[in-house]
Amino acid sequence: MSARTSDNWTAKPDVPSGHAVSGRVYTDADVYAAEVDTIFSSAWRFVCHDSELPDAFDYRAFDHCGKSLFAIRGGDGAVRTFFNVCSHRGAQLLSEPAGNAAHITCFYHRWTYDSRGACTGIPRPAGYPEDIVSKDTMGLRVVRTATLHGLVFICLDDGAAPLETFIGPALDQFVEMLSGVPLEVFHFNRAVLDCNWKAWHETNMDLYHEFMHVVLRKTQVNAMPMEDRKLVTFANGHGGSGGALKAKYDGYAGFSGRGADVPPLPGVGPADFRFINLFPSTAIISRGTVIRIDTAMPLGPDKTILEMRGLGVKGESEEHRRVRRRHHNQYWGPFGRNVPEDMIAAESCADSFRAGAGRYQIIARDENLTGQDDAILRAFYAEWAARTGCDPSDP
Amino acid sequence: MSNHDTMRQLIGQGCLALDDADFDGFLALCTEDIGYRIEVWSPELCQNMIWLEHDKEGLRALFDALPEHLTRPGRLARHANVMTVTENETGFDCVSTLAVYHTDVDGRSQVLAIGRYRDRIVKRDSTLLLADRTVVLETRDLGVGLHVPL
Repeated sequence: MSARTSDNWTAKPDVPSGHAVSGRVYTDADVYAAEVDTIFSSAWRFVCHDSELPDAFDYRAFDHCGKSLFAIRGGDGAVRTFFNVCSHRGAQLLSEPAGNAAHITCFYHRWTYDSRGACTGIPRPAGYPEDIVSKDTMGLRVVRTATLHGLVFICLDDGAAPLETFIGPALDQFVEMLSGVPLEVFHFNRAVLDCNWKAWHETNMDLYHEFMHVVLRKTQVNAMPMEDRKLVTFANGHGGSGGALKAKYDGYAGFSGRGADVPPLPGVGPADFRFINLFPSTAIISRGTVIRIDTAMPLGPDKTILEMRGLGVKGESEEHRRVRRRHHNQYWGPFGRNVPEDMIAAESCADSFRAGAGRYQIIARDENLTGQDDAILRAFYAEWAARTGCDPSDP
Repeated sequence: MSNHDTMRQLIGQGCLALDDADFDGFLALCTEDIGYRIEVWSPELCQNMIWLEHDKEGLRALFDALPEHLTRPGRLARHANVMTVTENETGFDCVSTLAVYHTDVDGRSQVLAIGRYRDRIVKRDSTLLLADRTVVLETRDLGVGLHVPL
């Protein structure tokens, strides 16, 4: 056993195909451009929970690869999404992240739109050639939008397969949880990380990094036999738990009794841990009493917007909400025991690959879809390769 | 010493104790029934959020666990400026502006967060103690976040 020479270090690891990832997939501008073209311009992506748009004309604005979009609930109850851009001169229409706008008015020249994206007003229209520039021709750019189990997704590709086809059975283990009781978002946190979007998403797909978190070392790693854990991968790059993984909260000071103080979500026990990673960059994680949804959106090869949501039961008592919020905050959120550690890990790897010091990630754990198998990571990169046309180990 | 100066000294001691990771020292400035929370308004949800909430036992458990956690390297410096002190029947309500700076291991400092302390201070056995603290954050993007109270 010895330290490695330059040749050893830079050589592709001698692992089976698909079991190593080049650091260049996190840093290379051309790779990033390919991802924008072939993944973020064509895959469905989670953007918000249905409860964030409770009333007609409620909207949520968000970023999508640097583009500003907004989802809005129409008077007919349907959620639609548009580019947040006036058809006239390109000014941003909605400047707040959320609000209510029955009439959307551009501040610049007062062009107006409705919640279906139709242009409803152009001041002094007579100055334009009517057949080219008129209310009939100047509607907003609509973006495909679909809602599944309360989760709102968008897709920029008008020709992509329907959302249900893209998701397949990947959400099946969450259906009862997501639909059994009305849910609402009580936590939202947005942070910009200095890392590639995949580096963040890998923290959700990589069970092996449980060892980084003292909370998981004490409550999860030894909570059940590793061989009894079931993991599962799906078509289109999704993957997650194949049933509940268990936690023993008594192992960490301050967490004992967790779950006895508020009803668990439908279909799960208080110590159940389930997760699903939806390609390309959304994770849904349940810890019995509370759900976290996070989604990563790139701003460039090494800059990522991370949005994190915590969901509880809509209309529950303040006491139950307080407990559920505590359960959420114990693990997640900017002061959680786990999430800051995940972010440190993502940025740390990014630093190494940015400078070319780190060359490869090894995703070669094979435990027959149990324990801490890397199969979820490999399924993700298989889909990534199919879409980008790049070999992850040699892009 | 004026009420204002007395409150400034107590709140300042709390800042220095937390900056120095002297968590026993910080807890010694608090009543046994202290409530501590970090709140932030979400324009995305149009509602207030609580990002951290502890009683004294919870704070102690958090502090005890810190050495085992992976934390952002560097030091924090909390600058609190007591703006108003209001005396009432049970003690004092104080509002301070707060800026928290992070200095990394290479010595680079930057603003981590700004906000306010909303403190309730009471006198117990002739000693002034922190009985309740709400940190109201303006900053919502805390980068990689942190484990310690602000």
